[in-house]
Amino acid sequence: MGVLDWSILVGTLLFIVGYGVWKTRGSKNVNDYVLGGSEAKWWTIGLSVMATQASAITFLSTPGQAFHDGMGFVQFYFGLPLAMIIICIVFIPIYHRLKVYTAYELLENRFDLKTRTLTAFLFLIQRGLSAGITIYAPSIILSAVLGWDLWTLNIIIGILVIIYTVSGGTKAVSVTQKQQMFIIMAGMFVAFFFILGYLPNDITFSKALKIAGASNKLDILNFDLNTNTRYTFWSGITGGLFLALAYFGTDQSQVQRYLSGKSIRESQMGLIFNGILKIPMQFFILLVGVMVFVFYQYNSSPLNFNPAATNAVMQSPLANDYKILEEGHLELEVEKKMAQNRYSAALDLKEYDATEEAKQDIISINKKERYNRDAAKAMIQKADNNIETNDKDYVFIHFILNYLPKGLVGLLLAVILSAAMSSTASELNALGTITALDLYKRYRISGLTDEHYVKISKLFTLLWGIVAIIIACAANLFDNLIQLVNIIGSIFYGNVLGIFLIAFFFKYIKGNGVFVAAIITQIIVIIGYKYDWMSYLWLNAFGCGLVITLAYILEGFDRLLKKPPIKPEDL
Amino acid sequence: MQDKFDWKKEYTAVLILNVIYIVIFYFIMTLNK
Repeated sequence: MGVLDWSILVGTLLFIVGYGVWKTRGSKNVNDYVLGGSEAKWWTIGLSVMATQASAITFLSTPGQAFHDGMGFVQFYFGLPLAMIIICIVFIPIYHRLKVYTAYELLENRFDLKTRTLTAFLFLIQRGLSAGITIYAPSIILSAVLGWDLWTLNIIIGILVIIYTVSGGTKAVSVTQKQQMFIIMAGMFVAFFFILGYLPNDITFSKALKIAGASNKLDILNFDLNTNTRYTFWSGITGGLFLALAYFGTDQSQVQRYLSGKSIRESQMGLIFNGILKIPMQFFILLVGVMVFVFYQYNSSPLNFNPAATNAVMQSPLANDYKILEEGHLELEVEKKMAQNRYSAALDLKEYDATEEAKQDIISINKKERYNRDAAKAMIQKADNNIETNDKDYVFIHFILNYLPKGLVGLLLAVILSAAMSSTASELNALGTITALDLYKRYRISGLTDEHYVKISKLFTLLWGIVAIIIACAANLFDNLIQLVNIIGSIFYGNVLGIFLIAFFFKYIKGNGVFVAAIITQIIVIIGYKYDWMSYLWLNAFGCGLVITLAYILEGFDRLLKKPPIKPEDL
Repeated sequence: MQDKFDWKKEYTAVLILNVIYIVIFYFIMTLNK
């Protein structure tokens, strides 16, 4: 990285932090600090909601996902627009009518204090862990490719976020997210056009799509009913709907974004904005990955994109075997380039048979390449069992660092760090709010001034920021922590969504029934996960259905027990 | 808690636009096979 890259990276990040602090100085009351004075416009809410969901991993991992497995991942988001509509119709009017600061406050209003406290605790466990991972995930990748110290990176990201989030609360989070989204999208567009520019002269965009299609990278839709296929149209509109409903409707890090709306209408329009733009945005990020794939059809790529993995195997007794594998990979790359040239020429001449022949060659070379990459992964794992062999997170950053010109590398690194900061800021903001309002304020006997609660909210936001940094620094001590956090999310989300759906649609069920049902459900879901009853992605729907069913049955029992005994004179 | 649903034209726009996206995806997929 040169001086220009460093200047752009440091300048961008410091500008965002400085702007966030300056723009939001002097929040005096809880409404200002927690809901940004309830004056956010719909585009601010929309951008804030999108920036919260899009973490650094979205921009590092998604292009790599497209590089290896094509664009089918976009189907995962098919349930999201429908979830946005449901939240606009059902959730937002109720949140606004009850004038709540947190999602869980509504549950006390509808059920009782213990149900509110239970859901707040579930949120704190899950979101507290994931705030650490939101910092750790990009840090581990950047430290591996740039050689930067992991802990230093964790601490820098954490401190930058803490500065403006503690200082300005929700308003600081949303004003900085606007800048961050601008930088993120500008950076991705510039990267996209640079990739197209780097393709050979005869490869136009439409031909690049044909080349990607020949390798099945444009298999966007899959209507397979097999539940073992992870990303299908059906899993997207069912599992994706449940996940989006739980995340956007009940997770305070998202709810707090749209509760800051000036009116119900502004909040709803913010989510509509997300419902319209989310799928095209994910499609575009995947398309960047597909173009990186086309780029590597003509340029050399490593057998495994994770440099730490390659180093591990090269320093092991398997180094010679790995070198042989690399030589085979290089030969395949030459063959692949020739096959792509034949395919391109056949497309120009519109010769159907030659096109098909070249396409079959490409498919066969791709198969061999995949076999080689899998063999490399197996070898790496044998050399070091703890190292991450799945290199999808490293594909895009490898391209950025090795092929983009000076200045742009700094901009793209600013994109990644901005994305990390925008998600972390929403998480810390929500964690601080829940701890201050759902626990601290609710359990204090005497009423204190608004200023006191602002100070306490700031203090808890700071504490959660420190906890997130500690988790990020300790994360590499545990195996598969990222996956663990996703699993914890799926274990809790379904239950919490079910509680909210009961609050909205099942008037018959009261506090005791839902509280006991939620505890039993949580235990059953954890057992279900432990004994592998289903893929963890389906635990959301399972937990949601189970808590509703159990609460209904328990409420029936409760009413039966409370019924006065029938007296003989009543007969 | 919710007595009546208020359907707005923006919701219809979200549904229609997303169906259009899926149709476009289908064409991109089939035209580049």
